[in-house]
Amino acid sequence: MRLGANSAGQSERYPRLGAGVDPSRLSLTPAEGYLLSRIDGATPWLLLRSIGGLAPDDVDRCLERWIAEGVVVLTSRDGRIEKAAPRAASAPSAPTAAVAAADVDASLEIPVEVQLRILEFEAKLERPYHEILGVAAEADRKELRRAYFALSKELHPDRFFRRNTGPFGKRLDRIFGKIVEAYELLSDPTARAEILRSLAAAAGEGAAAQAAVEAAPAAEEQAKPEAARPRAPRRPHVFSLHSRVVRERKARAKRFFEAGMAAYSAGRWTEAAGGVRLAIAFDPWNAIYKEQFAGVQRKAHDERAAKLVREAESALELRDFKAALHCFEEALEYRPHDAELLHRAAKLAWATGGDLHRAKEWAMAAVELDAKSAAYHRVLGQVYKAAGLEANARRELEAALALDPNDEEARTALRGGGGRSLGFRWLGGGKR
Amino acid sequence: MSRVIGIDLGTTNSCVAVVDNGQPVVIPNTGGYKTTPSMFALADDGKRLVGHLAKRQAITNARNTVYASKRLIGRRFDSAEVRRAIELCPYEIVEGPNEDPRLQLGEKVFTCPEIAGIILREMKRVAQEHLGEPVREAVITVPAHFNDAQRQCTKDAGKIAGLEVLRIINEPTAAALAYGFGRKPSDETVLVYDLGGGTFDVSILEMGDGVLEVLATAGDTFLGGEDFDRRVVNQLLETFEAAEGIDLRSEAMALQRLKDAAEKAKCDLSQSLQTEVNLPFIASDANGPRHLSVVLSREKLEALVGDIVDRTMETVKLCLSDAGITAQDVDQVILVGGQTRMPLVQERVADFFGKRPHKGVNPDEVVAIGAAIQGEALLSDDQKLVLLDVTPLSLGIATYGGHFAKLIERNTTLPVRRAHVFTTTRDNQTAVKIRVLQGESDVAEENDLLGEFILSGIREARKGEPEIEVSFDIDTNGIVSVSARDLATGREQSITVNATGTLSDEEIQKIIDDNELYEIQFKE
Repeated sequence: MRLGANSAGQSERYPRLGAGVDPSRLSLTPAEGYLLSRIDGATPWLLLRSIGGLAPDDVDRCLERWIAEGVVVLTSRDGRIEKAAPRAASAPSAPTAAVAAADVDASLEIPVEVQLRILEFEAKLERPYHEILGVAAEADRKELRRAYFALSKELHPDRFFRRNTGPFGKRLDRIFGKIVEAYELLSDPTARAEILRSLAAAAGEGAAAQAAVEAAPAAEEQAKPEAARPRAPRRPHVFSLHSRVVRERKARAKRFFEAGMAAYSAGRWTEAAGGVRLAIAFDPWNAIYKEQFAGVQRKAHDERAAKLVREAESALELRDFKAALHCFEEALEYRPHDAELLHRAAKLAWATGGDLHRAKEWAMAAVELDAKSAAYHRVLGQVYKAAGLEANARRELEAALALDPNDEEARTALRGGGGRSLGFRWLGGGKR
Repeated sequence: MSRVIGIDLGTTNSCVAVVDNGQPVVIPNTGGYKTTPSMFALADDGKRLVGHLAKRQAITNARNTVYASKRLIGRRFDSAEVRRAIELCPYEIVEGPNEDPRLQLGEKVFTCPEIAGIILREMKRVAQEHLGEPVREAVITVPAHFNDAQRQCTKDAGKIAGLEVLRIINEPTAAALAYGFGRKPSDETVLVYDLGGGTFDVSILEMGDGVLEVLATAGDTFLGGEDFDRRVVNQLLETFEAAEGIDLRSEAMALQRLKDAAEKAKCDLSQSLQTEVNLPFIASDANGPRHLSVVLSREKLEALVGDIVDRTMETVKLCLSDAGITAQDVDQVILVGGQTRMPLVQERVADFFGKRPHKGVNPDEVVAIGAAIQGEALLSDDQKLVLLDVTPLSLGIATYGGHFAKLIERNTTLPVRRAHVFTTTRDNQTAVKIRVLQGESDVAEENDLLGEFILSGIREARKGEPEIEVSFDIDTNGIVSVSARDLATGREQSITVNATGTLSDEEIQKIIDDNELYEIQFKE
């Protein structure tokens, strides 16, 4: 299908997202995704054709498909929704077929009309479940089953057993999986009630949004469509959540949480944090888990940091300064406000000819956290000195001596001596 | 195009069928029997014997005659079932390199898929002789509760037999297919009660116009007709010991005779109210030879095995609850497996459902017929029949703290694909080990380990940050494959879960080559 006179007419229109549409649920190519992201109700169709990423003809095809699928609605210049989205109402499958035609491959062992049917079906997989099964929302179990059986007979992958189906094999798998999902969920009274509720809610918001649009005064310029655009439902497409799965995830989350708390009472903080983290992963809406997490994580971080410090100390004993510094650095990630840790890292970095810039930052942070420590001031002074900032060095070294007149190291440094030292061994070289 | 056969590879007997001119028929073997014992023996002269020939010499050659090896296939050597078999079976069971049980007959060690392959080859031969043309393709049935390893081993057995296995289907499902064949399309809910030699399955199906949907399936791995035999053997042993003071439990040959006699007595009692077991010269001591002669009544038999039948009804209840229906919702009950000939079984089922079970199918043949129908349907151009089967066991992975994270619940319609995102539990963890399990327990350890693999090359990060997506596929054969992907790096690893006991392609090829040498003996 080519775009003829019609496209010129459409060009004057302003496409915008339909109510309740969650773009993340569509299956799009990156280029289509880009196009969708440009649709804001204020950019006319004509402009959209030239935004790049897709050829203008492809833009037309995409928009027509989305209109047919209800993803996009057209508004006129004054922001009013076009009553019946053109074509969508009259021939809903036609635009789909146009897109599909490119995917049909006559060399495959599937009749072309069946290929078209598969492509058409694939295009509606994001629709509400009852539409996938092709039944009314209030269909009873018997009708559901009849529809399910008929679709199974038509689209079960076995129907093309051992045939060369090319890319259609994967499509059939996906379609059949969705048919099963739809049937199972709609057959489960609890899940179905939830689905109907969220569908009703979405429809309600859609209607409200439309009312808002119609009530809105004629939009002057850019800003208006933004205001007129309905807010997306808080949890769009809740109906796609499998209630049983949700229950199970919550139960699993609870088990992880309990295991985590047990570890917590036993003092195994890292394990505890892991448990609570998994609980949150499985049940992200549970406030209690989140509340507990901060505390547990802090404990776990302390535990981890303490372990790293021990590792650093044994590395120091082995004169493996690089490894020791690495451990301190990592420990700092867990305890960024630990003055002693900052001080030790700074001292080590300075003494081993490490990165002076970072040594300065650590030493400064240590001093900031505890200005009463002579050692912190002294190390900061030594770092400044190594960096050639004599005035700053003098200030800090003097501060150290004021706090502790017996700090011989500071005194030596002030006198102009004192290289980089670990206190037990001189380290030559590396000084810039 | 050559025709596809359906094979019911049973614990005690096997059966083969084909669809001939649109009608499914069971193919009789050379002796005219419609079923063939699932037995294999290595004779003293090194000859390989299968089926009736193997059965006939089993008494004199008990150590080198394999029966009921289906109970061992795809299991781990240290499993309870294998341990029990070691105690009970006169043939020797040894541990193979894949922690699988293997069978030592004389000098030679056989794998379980190899034995099953030899039996399948015999069934193929039966079909070829009857049809007068080569057969290459088959549908093979397995108990519904078979796990992935057991299914894969069965598929390997098909390969060893030189068959292309189009599909592995569940025995009760096959029975329902046979029941539904040629029936006027009407909506029915059917329950299949399948009590075979070594396995027990229940499946509930809904049938519509050309579609069979399995609603639920449940099974008991440790239950079958042989448990009935064992009760009778024990009774005979005790009676003999009380009368003669001789314990026959350590006499392999006497035990084999008792086992045969017990099975025969059990079958007799399905027809008559009383039977006599006569085993002359079963033992001897200082006072000369001793004979066993015991009268057994149906009443006595029913008292011996009543609790086993009760156990089957528990599985029926579980299956009904899984399907979300009640006994009243079941339109038709189909009995499958030789053990359902027992009047007690029929009565209990009839009492439970308040209606007589369906009489129209032969419990020994119906499974093979269903398999043949499915094979035909798969290859036909006009799709008249679609089977919607389910996975019998939940599938998942072991997670942090020894938990079992179920990713696919049991009774999920096949084929199915599910993906979930997991994360690391340690900082800078660069590899994760993924242990794939099948079973119903929340504790990972208590489920069957299907296999494990390691996804490495995860980018270094704090624990909980990496996102590893694990996808599970179960195909229409019930066979599992798993892939894992690090969402950050895109690194992917996929495996067909190679469970313990399954053979590598090289091993299979070697067995096939080995067996070619013996081909001539199958045709005697």
